[in-house]
Amino acid sequence: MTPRDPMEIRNWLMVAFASALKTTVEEVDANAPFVNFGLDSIAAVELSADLGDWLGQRVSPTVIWDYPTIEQLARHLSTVGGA
Amino acid sequence: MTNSLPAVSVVEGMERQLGDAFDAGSVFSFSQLLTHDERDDYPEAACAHLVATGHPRVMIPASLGGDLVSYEHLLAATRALSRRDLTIAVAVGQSFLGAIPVWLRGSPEQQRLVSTIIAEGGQGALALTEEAHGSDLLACEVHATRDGDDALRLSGTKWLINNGTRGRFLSVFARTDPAGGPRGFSLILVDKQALDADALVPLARTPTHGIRGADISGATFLDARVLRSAIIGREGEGLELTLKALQISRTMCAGFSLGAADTALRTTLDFVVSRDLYGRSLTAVPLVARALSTAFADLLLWDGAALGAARGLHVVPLEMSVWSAVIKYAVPVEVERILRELAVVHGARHYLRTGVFQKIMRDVAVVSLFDGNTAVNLQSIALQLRSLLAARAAPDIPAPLFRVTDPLPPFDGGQLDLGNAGTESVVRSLDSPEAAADEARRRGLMPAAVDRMFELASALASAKKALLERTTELWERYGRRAHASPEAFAIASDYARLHGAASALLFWRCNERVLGELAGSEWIEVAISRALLGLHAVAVPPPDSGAYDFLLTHLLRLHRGDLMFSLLPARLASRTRLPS
Repeated sequence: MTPRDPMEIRNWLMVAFASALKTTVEEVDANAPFVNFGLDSIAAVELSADLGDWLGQRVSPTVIWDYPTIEQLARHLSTVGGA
Repeated sequence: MTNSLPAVSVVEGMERQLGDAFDAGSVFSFSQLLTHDERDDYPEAACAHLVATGHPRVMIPASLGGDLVSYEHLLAATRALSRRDLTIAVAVGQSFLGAIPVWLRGSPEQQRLVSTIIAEGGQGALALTEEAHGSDLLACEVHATRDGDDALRLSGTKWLINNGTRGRFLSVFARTDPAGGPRGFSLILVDKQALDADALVPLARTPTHGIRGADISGATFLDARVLRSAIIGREGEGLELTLKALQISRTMCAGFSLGAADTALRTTLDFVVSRDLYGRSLTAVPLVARALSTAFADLLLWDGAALGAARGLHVVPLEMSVWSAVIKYAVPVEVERILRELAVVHGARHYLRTGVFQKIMRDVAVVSLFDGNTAVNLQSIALQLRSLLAARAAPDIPAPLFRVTDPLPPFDGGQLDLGNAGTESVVRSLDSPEAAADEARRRGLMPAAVDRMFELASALASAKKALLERTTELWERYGRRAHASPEAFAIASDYARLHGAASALLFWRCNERVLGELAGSEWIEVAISRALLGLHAVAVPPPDSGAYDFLLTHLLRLHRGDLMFSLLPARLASRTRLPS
């Protein structure tokens, strides 16, 4: 599985959160903890499934716990085998 | 041939050790266990007998010198014990639940400690709940703070903990980061014998509606000093480890409900076969015959689902976050429903405290409450509905998953995860309805039966499609809040029932030889058509009328032969006396 560019992943996450929060991408803070967006630890299961689907590789919900901002998660997932 | 299957051999071995359940002189008899229940007494003599016969070793992994060879073995042992008494079975299950985190991520020292305690007959518990917030683990207030470099101070109260006072070891879920969050909690292995005096005050026993003899109590930790090395796994791993441990215990919980249901059905049959009404045998009354045959068919469906799930832990551990939630939600509530229907057959006698049926009904109601209650498990499923139902090319079902004669790979706890990530082998099998018909044809079933199998499998595929449409529509309506909506819980409930039906169909497809008579179309037709009714599916093909008669005959034969009411019937301890 070729690693994705961190910017691509960052953008996917920005769009996903903007849509979920019914706001614009510009309003989404890439350094805010996910819990600020109302994404609690159990809802991380849903996000990880969608994200893994798009990336084409499994993303454990615990990865979202361990990298709890858009910026951190994008950087982590862009490394090879980053799930 | 079936004798070598764990589902059979483990039960038969235990039945030989536990003796005749109807012999009032035996400590493991229904009547003695009923007496203890009446007095809210812990069944000490029966538990001592279990320890003396080496039963606790089934909770210790084979790799650590125990008898836990596979989860098929543990499911069978749980079921055998639950046939006798849920108070005992649940107490054993709770010790096992307390041990699971140690088996998964414990240090060699921790594993040695827990296996020694258990092997010697000691008990333990997973201490999660607190009075102010039961299922909301992230609100946990019991906390552990640093005390120098190598110790922690544990404070707070755990409430409604089975084995809370009798248990020697407690795996305590504690806040280790004041800020909390998913990495803010740890599981701490507390050996009560290693605590300072007055570091722990037990809570009083809480009387309960069922499993009345159980030690449902708890503990208050008063700045209890524990070593940092008491943390199981890493600091901050508590939530992840607890959720993974629960995937195993939730799957095994099916054994509680199915075992109890076996006795409930057996005592109902004892009553029915001995009774004449309106000038004929009770089995000749159409309503009674139908109630018994359908209860049997439904029980066998969930039997197949549970047997598959136990194997799933070995073969597809990545899928267990959903599969364990399906089992934990559906089996207890379905068994409760089946018991209510059997109670009608039993009539007034089910209500008498001189009989064991009322005890079973009360006991069995606890299973849907612990290790994640109904709502918690439905929520787990609801969160993953979209990815689970999304159409994908269906791979062949891995043969070892449902074929019980295939050897199981060793269990690898490192493969468990907190989400399926859309990987799912059971409901996905419904995308190919022709597979069931092909198998029916290969078995030489009548053309009409082959056609019916195709209709039933197609109806299941349509039901799956309908769930996907409802899910898509709901998420379009509510966005990310959809998983918390009441509609999502309803879809999750239907998904669980669909999963159960698909499991039963896969079990039927993969086990022609061991199923014997049940390899024909009778059981599977009745089971699947009833599951479809429960899903409010349209155009449900009715089973062939002879199918119900066939099932009743089969059930009566198992009853006469003292065999377990299961797809894989084990021989039970023979009755030396007739039931009174």
